[in-house]
Amino acid sequence: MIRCPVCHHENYDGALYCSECGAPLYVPATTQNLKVDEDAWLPTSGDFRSEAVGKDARIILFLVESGQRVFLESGRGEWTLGRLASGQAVVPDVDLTAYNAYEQGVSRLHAALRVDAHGRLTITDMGSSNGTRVNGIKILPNTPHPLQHGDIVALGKLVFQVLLQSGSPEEGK
Amino acid sequence: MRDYYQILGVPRDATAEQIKKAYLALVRRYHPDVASEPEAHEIFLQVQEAYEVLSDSLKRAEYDAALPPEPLLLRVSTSRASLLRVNEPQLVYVLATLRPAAEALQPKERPPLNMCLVLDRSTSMSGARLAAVKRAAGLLIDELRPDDIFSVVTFNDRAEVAVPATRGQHKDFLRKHIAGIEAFGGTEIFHGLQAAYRQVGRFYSPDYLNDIVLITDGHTYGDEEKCYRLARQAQQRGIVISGLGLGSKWNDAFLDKLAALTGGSAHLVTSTRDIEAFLEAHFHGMSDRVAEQVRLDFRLGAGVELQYAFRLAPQAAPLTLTPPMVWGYVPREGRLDVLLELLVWPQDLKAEMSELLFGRLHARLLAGRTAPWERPFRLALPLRDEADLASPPAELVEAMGRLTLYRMQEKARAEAKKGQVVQATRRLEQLSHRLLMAGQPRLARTVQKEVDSLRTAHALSESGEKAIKFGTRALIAPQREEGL
Repeated sequence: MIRCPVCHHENYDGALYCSECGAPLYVPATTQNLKVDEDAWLPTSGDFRSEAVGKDARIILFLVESGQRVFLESGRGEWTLGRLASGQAVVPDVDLTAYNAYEQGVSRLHAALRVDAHGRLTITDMGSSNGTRVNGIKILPNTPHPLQHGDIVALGKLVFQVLLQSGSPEEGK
Repeated sequence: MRDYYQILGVPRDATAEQIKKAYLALVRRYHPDVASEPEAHEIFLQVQEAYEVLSDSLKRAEYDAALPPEPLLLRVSTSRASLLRVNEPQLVYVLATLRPAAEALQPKERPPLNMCLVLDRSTSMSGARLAAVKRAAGLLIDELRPDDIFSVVTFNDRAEVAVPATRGQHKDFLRKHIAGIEAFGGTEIFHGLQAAYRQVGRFYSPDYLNDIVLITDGHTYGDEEKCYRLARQAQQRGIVISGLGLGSKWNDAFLDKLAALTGGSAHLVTSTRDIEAFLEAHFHGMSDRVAEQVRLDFRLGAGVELQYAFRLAPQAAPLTLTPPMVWGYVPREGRLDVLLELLVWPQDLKAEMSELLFGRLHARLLAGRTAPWERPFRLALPLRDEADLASPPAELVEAMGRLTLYRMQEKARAEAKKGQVVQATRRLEQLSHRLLMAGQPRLARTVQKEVDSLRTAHALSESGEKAIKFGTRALIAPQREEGL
């Protein structure tokens, strides 16, 4: 039997996806260059409607497949996301190797989360090989894209949800 | 001429060593001292004969020179290379692909088409819907070749032959009869199908493309079994039935089953403009096939259950779980992909090699006239004590991922029907989430709407459940095909 990491349903041996919730049960051994189809680019010139992130807000990346949470170190304005590989000159602030980053097609320096001048959280794809998607839509590389609480972000095929926990009560939700 | 490569299950460019290995494996499997199946003896003799020729390089060269090129290429991959010796059931996924060989790619004139449109003309079809169908039929008539045969049957509570089976050279006659169709009465599909079967039968030839397209917008009452029996009869004569459902009131499970029995497919049409597009794609698709009536006759190994069978492309559709499993046609460009899910129970795992499925694949090749083609289709896996660490083929994993979304929808619908609202709601929420991750925000929203409908009305809406079913089904094919 294979236990689903997401919903804990017991699946028959040999199952590739959970018969209950559809989560993948099999993690491919090596796939670096994924075929991510080229969808329409999302223009980022539109109005930023995301709310400002409070100074002591906590940013949590909820990894959808494994159900694990990554807490970003507070008190800074920028976090680079990627995976650590040997002989790498620039290391990412958040190393996602432990979450099957390589297999899921995450580049060494994949994307950066930044709090911009207006205090809003943005994500910027750093020219990754397999691209970055926000709520299923591919974002332009090297262009900041606003993020809101609950947005689903995919680095290659590694998917996480952005959770914002406000520190101060008036911004709490 | 027997294909010795097929018999040994090796490619035509196999090395002497590959041939020997395949031969030894088959001898161990089918030797009269060990095999008990009725076919074993015949297979054993064929294997001997094949090896005698292919193991001798001189005889093999002579044989190769006389061998005609292979028109269809079959590739079968499984999710695992071996079964595990454990005391619990195991799943095996199988992806079978049929593709035309390079030699078969030159366009050939298609055989004459023998087509019957079966139109629902019950009162609900009046107005725009009927007008659209009539217009679409008119367009088809314009494109008929003189040797094609075309007929139209209309039905409500009974059937009428609106256009008797007529050669394509008499276009004015065909057009005049189409114009006279009017809406009236209720829906009884069996009468319509039966009349269509007779019209196709008038000029029937196994060498033609015999085709029935049922266009309906309503439920049929109480005559489903009769329709299935007729479909089985049609399949035996190579007549393919496809279904087109308009709006939200038609019975999609019925149309799916009817189509699956003959190798056709069912489609959802939400706007009248799509009717034209469908018929045109269907008609033109007829000229772009290299083989049709592909079917698998099979039996399963002891303790093996066929849990699911689905055609991924062309035109994703469920397949029957009992033989004959009709796969449909092989397009000239692209391929026929079928996915099977087998469950293997442990108590029957004794031999070193477990036969999972044993059968033959049949097809009719379209090359001006039709010609039969067949080859053995066997699935067997060795039994091992250690887990198989090889990765399943990426293509199979991806295909299963897309099919998983469709199956979640199926389960949620079954649960909603049984009144298990909580389970159905949870599953649809998970589906919506998966769709969002798969880059399908619009479909995810449609699913979310049905979640709301479950919460407020404790049931799914008829239009919503069909939109989700055919929406997730459209995601199954590896690449977009034919627009439909």
